[in-house]
Amino acid sequence: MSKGKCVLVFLLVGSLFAASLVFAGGGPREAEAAVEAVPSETLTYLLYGEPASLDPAFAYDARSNSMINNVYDRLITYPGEDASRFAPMLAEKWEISPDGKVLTFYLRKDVKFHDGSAMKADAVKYSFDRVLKMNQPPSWMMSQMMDLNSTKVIDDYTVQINLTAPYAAALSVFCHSVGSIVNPAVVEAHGGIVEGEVNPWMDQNGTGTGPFTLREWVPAERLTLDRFDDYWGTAPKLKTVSVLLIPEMGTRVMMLKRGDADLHDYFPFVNIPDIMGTEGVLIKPLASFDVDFAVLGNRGPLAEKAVRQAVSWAFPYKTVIDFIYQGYAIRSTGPVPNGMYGYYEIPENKRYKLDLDKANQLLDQAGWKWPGAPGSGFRTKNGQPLEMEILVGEAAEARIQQALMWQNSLTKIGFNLKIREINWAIAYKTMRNHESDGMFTGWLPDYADPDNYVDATLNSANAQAIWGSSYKSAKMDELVDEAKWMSDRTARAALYKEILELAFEDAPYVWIAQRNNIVVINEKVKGYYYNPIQPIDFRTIYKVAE
Amino acid sequence: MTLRRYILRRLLLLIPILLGVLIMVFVISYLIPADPARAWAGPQARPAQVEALREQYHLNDPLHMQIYYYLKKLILHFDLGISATTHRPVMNDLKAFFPATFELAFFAFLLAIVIGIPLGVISALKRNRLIDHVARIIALTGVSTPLFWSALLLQFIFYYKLGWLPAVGRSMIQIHRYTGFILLDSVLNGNWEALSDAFRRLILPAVTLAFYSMGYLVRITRGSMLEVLESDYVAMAKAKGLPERIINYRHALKNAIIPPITVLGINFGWLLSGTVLLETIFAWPGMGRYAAGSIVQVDLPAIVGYTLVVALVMILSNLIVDISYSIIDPRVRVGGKVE
Repeated sequence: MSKGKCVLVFLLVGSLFAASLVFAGGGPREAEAAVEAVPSETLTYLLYGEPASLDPAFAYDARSNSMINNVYDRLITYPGEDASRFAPMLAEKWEISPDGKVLTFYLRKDVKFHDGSAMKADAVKYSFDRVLKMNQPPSWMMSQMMDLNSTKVIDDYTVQINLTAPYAAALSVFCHSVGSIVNPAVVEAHGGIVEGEVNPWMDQNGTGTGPFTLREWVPAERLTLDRFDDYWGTAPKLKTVSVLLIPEMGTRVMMLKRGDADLHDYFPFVNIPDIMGTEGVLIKPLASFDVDFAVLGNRGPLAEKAVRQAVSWAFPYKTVIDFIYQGYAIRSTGPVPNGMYGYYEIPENKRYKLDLDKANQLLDQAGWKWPGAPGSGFRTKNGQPLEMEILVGEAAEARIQQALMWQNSLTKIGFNLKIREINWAIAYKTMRNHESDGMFTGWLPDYADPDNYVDATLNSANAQAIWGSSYKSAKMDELVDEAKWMSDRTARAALYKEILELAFEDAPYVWIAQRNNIVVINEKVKGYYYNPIQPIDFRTIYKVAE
Repeated sequence: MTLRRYILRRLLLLIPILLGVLIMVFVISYLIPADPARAWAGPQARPAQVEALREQYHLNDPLHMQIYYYLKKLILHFDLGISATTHRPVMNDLKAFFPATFELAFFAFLLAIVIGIPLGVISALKRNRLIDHVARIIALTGVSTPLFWSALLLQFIFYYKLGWLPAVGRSMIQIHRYTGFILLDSVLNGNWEALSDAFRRLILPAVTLAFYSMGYLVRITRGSMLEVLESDYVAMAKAKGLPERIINYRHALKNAIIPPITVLGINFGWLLSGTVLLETIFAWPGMGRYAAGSIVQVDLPAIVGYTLVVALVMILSNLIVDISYSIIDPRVRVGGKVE
């Protein structure tokens, strides 16, 4: 056979082989069904980004916590959708001493780790001490109220926590994934605890008591969770959860529309029109505790309270909520979200709204003068221009649009808003170095307590350390600290009202919106519930048969 | 200079080149006004925890000490450090991501060659005929069409509308990954379902990449062939009455193939550095996504490790191209003059 004919035969055979691989399994749709088999016991979940770590002592992002909360259990949890009270989990019951400093947890006796060993009180002590010793990003939640002497094993199924101070939100902290109980024997077999350092094995693996085990984590591709059949609680109906890591939003939309993906939470507002009206797909806007705001650096012209109030009066709150959030948000008047204990809403007749007359009046009274006729150019005072630079995260479309709308309003009061789009890692450093004046950002709850929001934003040390804001009020610091350690809930609520009124008056931030969590879910998926504090819970979810 | 000495010299030159690249990356990373520790810890972490991360990764040390620590680990232990975001050794990450990119690049490359070179040759031989015009339109389209646009279009048609091919990923079937090359690993596992799944997932991204590379290849091959076909020795061969097939493929093509090989070499090196847009659309876990994620997170160990690997790949691919010249054309003496 000639060389040419050999090549031709080779190409023909190669094509036939390739074709057979393409259509193996009986045809395109059927092949897809066989290979990507999604029986009613498997949920395909689209996670909006890759988890950073599966180690409860290191992970401090929502994506990681959504996996950790299904592989690990905690002593207590929130009951279903309710974030205002607690339910037993690994602890059957608990007691709090009258002074609020001693918490005693009575553990279940039928809990097994994924390796089959029994979970006892020593695992609780090991887990909490581990968090403190490693001193990684989420550890502050425990170290603010505990130290290495705090956790005591009373007996195999009783553990006592002696808080260093009576932190009112202590129980909430134990609901966070940082309070997850790990298997000491497995951790010790894989690097143990090294003070001040991470454990790479724990980052990539799971060793908990949760309803699911981690079967695999293929970096940048997927995580697969399998049902733990020896789970102490009600066994999940799902056998497998396939968590797909797909960065491209358009691809995710296509997969949801075709039914190849079942569930996507934190769905971007801008993509809602793409999925709306798809048969068999539901869109659920659910009230979250996520708050969006603009940080005012409180320096330069913004060092003046009148200026901060004026820019607050110039923000187009309603337009932003209606058009950028597409109505899937409610107005926020302070750091504490609506629905959380300690929430106080500034009255309608008092709160900031778009009122350029009021803004202009404040600036006039503060001595900021127009260069010419009112409405022309930008104001100045003693040679200083009335301006600020605000940072917006790269490709954060919604925030860029908000900034542009605000810029338009501010121009009408003679305020020059310069918008700078920047990588968010650089943004935080830029703000902390006082190289810029403001930033659009937000806060997701760590735990269901107003202190988590108030301490992070209004305490002057944290305002500088986290946001790079120069806001400093001795009175505010005093109030925030007092409220943190107060155990009387009624008195504490009154104190938070005072804090939020002072925050309204001082206007160190522009509180914009409390946004919804948009969940896109296939109608065959049942049992899903949303708790604004807890990450997704796969244990109650099931799918009706095709 | 003999070929062996030439290769040895080029490989020895790798060391100062890679050292230069490493220092440059460190300097640039040092100068960027970012706070890597804050990026790794997240915006909600408290200052004490952020400071602990800074200490752990020597971020408070002077630049020259940071470079010293890195080189010490690299030379003594062949250790590229630990990724600040994945907490895995950077070497392990690169071992996971590089095969994905290599596999995709290889098949795209193969497809581009199998279609591009013959099409370029035919286009030159049938100059100004219909096939030539069609080939040139295809080539121009391939070169002009943005990669991400082709990717989205193919995904929309073949996945969303027709349902013929999967949208994303390398494989949905769990197999033991011996090499990281999914097709090969599927064969080694004896899992034909996995092989079929992996192959079907490779098609869309490989065709997208190939279409882009093929465009260049067709144009360069055509141009090179046209130039060679007008040379004296080809006219001589025609005058001697040699068959056209012999003239075109044994004489003309052998000389015309040098420029396309140069393009192929550079192109393959570029493909191996990863194409982040394509990998993002197809959720392909390759070097492009790894690099993009590392840069956004200011993951310095990962950025340095990635840059070193890409520099190495580019140098080696250019070396292979240079060596191939002397194989194809024995008159070419690498490192010396053409005799």
